[in-house]
Amino acid sequence: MSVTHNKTVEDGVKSLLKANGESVGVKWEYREKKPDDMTDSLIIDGKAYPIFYWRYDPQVQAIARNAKFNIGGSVSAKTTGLIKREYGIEAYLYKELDAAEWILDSDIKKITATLNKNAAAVILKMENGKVATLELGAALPEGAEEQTRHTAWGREGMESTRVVSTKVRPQSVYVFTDSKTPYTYNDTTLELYGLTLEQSTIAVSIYKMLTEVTDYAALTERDGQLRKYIEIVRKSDITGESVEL
Amino acid sequence: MNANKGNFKPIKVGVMGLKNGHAEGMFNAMKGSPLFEVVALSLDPETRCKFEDRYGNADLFKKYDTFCDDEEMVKKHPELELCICGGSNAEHFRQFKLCAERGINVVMMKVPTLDMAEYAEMLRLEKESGIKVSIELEMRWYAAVERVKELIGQNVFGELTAINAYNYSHFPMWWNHWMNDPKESYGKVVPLKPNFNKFRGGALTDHPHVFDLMRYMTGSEFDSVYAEIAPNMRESAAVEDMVYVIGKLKNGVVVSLDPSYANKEYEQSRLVLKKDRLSHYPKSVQVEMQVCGTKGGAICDLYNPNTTEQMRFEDLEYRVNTRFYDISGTRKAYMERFARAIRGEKYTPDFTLSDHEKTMRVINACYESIYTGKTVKL
Repeated sequence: MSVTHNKTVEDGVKSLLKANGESVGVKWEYREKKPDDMTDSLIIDGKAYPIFYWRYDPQVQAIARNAKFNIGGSVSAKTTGLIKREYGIEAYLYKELDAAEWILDSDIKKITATLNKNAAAVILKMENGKVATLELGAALPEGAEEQTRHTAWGREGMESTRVVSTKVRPQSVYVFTDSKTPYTYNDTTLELYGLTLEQSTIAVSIYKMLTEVTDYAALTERDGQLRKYIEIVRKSDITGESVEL
Repeated sequence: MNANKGNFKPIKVGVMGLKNGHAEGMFNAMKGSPLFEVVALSLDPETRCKFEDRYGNADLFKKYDTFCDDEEMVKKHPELELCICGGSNAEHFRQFKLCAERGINVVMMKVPTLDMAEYAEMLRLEKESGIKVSIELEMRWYAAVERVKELIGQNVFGELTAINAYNYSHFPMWWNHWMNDPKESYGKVVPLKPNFNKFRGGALTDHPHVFDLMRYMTGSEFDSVYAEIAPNMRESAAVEDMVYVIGKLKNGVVVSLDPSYANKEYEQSRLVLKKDRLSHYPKSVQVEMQVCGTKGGAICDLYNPNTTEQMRFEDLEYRVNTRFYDISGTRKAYMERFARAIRGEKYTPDFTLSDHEKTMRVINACYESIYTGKTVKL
């Protein structure tokens, strides 16, 4: 079971700003995703922008980078995972539709999907001829850590966020004391000491959004596009047909 | 469980080809079992040379009556009670017919045939001859499959909503050339898509297990499938190597199945057992599954969780090896159970030739979906 320290995402962002000697000239606020939201939001001067926090996950970044540059030209990618029930299957699709286009470096050309309550199976044919598969389920209990595996295959290699033979994301520290299941900690960097892995990734996202050149209008536009993709996923499921974009 | 021969009269066996990798496993299992007496083999010269080279033993088959022709073997050995139909997929029907016409029981490989007219004739011959037929589907022997099936049956996950599974392996096309020959693997040359230069007969043909497991573990049949091929990872492969399937079962469960040859292998024409070098990806075979229900989910290794990592040879090749208990072996146990059935012991097969026909139909539906670009209803 994962141990938390009552630290917040905001604590992480402040720590990163302090550690790097940076300050921001805007009023910002982090708003955690509610059940009907597609993702977390960053409020800047009263306006909400979606946080694509998965784009700051170092493992997913590695898949996207190496699928493009270092495995001889990717041919396909797959995302398989389970996430908390309260996160919702459509929000999970929103996240992974974005990641699929990023990983295969292409717009989606055709969507074929089947849905069943909290689960989705989707095949994406990309404009560049590559294929992505999404196998997603919002089935985990409250407090469980997301278990999503991203993999890309290419003509000269592959890369995956799971090391061969492992099933779940490893933790940094496993403590065996008074419980038959170990207490675990997933501290990754001293600036974010005490945050969970999920909080750390969101904190890094916000820190980057605030301190780097960020096209906020593009984020809003992308949000709209991803919502349209989800409508198409629903349409494909209902009609039983593929939908060309 | 080691067989105790007792008064058991060993089953006289003929092996029709060793082209299928699993036929080799069965041949070795029978050699170590008192319930079998391997009498004869029929091997084409190329396969025979390959095996003698692989084992470094020019006398590998010397103690058996060895033929180059299946028909000649069964004619010369009317005492045969069982044959392993271990040729290429395209040869299975002919081999099956030779056996059925002579009342010889058979063990079929995982793809008896994908030609449904041939399959219907096999079923007719099975019924008419009264022979016993067993299909070697190794994923039915694994304990984790039973565990997950049981958990699903107990509604541990709530209402089952989705199952995803993959069966990855290397592609043996470099040393088993027939597997990259559409006529030999699929039975005929059919392009995957209109005006396309790749053909049916690759990973989708070779990995029926995930489709079989869906039917077995849920007790439901496929309602519809949609399949898509990615650009081949191996450009020189004539058949599909990366293939993705989604669909629905009749009970509403969503499935996503991936039978791809996703684990890259060494491009070698000569396998030498003492070198045991197969794949670049450190594991050669993986079968894993994710189950999703309204109250929970599971991530499962169906093949075998016991593994070691290893570095070896002069180039420090990295391997992650599946390690099995040193007991009788599931393949041998499977073979011995069938031997007892042939001798009349009560035997309820886990699945029949007739039942397995449904899995072959699903695979053909996937090929049809790839060809048409549309979902196919079963």
